[in-house]
Amino acid sequence: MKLDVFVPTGSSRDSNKFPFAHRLPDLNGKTIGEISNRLWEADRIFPAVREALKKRYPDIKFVPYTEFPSHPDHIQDNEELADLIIARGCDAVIGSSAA
Amino acid sequence: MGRALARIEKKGIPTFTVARQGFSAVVRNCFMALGLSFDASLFEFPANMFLPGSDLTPVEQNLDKIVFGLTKWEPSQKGKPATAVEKLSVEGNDYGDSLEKMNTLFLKKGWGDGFPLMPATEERVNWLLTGTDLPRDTAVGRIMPSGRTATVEALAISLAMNGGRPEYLPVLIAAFKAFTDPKFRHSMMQATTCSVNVAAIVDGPISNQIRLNSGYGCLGPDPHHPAGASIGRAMRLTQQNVGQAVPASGTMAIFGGPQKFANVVFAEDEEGLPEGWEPLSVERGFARGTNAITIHAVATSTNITVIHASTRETVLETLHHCARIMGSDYGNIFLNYYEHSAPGVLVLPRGIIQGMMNFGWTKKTVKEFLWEHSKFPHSVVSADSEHYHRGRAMVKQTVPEEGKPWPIAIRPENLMIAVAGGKHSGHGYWMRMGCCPTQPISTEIELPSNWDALIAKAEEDLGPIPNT
Repeated sequence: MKLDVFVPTGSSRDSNKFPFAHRLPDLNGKTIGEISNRLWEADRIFPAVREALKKRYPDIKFVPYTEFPSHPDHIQDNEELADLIIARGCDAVIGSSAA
Repeated sequence: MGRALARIEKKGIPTFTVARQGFSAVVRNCFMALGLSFDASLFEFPANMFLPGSDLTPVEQNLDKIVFGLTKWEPSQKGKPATAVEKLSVEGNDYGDSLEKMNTLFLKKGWGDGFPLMPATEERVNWLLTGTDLPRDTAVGRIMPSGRTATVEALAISLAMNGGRPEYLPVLIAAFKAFTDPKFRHSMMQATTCSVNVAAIVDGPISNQIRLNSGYGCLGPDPHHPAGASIGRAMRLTQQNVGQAVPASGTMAIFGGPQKFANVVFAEDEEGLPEGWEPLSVERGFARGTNAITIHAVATSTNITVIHASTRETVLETLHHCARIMGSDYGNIFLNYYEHSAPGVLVLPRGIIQGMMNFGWTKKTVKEFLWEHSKFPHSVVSADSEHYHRGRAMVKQTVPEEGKPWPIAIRPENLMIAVAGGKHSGHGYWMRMGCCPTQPISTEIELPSNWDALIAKAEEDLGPIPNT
């Protein structure tokens, strides 16, 4: 006996509307913004990433995560952080996700 | 964090995520939810690296991954076409065999919860859709973390999968209107490590009409009042299947918790409210008699054992007992200080409420007492540095002055009390707020034009409405 049933995953009509950003040709001379919710060893991991990249790209610059908002209210569901990233002249962003 | 990165990516700035092992699907979901595809430039670092005193050598060892992510990475699912609700076929020797195969297939695809599922056939879904006047493709909201759309049809499918009835559909639709209200922040609730579920309280005549329990056992299973379990499980299946909140990929709730199976959906015992004690819906701005649902996100459930209200003294003991439980655990305390935040849901039976009112207490004075006597000592909160500092930084205009005790809400009126649980006294129930709404949300429940016929059919199918 054949059973025809609906797939229970709703509709994806709102996905795939926007492209990802173009990647950078090189990191030398570029400004990297860091964003973090300050949890899960961010205070150790970001400096480690920063130092490792600086060793390879001496002219790379950073806007540290301490200069951006960190609370979910300011970073999750509003444009504030993205606008700030642009205002600070960041060419790319490194974030952490562990919460 | 993932959604913040997706917003930045949409503005043309490339991002890279230093992801903890096991969190890549959560991040990819965030990008899909914001209208990109299910992908992200990321690398999973060992989970131990994110623990105190960890070895950070994986950073240097994987530096090439970070560089690649910012300079060469491309999404793997470019331009995949969007899809509407689809169907699939399952074939077996007979109905039972087909059903068995469907259940196995659904588990493999991550669409089940371990309990048996009913088949969401065209016929059954069409029957359930008689519970609304809305067109089946009406979008009720986008469910995170996937960002897929819960249409009215998708909700009917979830209801069909757990044996629901059409008269439940208006409550389910209203619940998801509330759930997707931005102030509820369901995206955080869905993905969080907090083991949180929805608590939903329904007021208005619909409760009795659809056999939603306000009495004995109202927060649990009840064969004579099946609506709460069915609506609550349909909510959960929608959260999981449409929102893709699957443990360890879409939802990182550490324990999950037993209430995640079917949430908690119950009715307020309006019939048992003494004169002068407003139903929850009236407090939340609806006219008495309006069909309305109020939802909150709760993470801890505690039975408040042996409480009485037969004398002035026992009323006071009961209030102290409730306050002690409410003030025993604050969770993410900074959440408590939004303007309209409620620290949880206190459920008390009519016998307690009646006893309190007999001795001169009102809803207002009960809330004031509970608020005053459930405060957390400053020494306790300040010793919890993470919550303390986040709380102060986030809501500095509302948190108490340095050195003073912290109340569980910014004002007594914010406390939420629902009356339910039958005609006896003896116990109360406290469900503490979990991650991460800014406030509970209430929505009116809209009935279809054929409502009376649906209720008559329910009575024909199930027998008279139980008088309990």
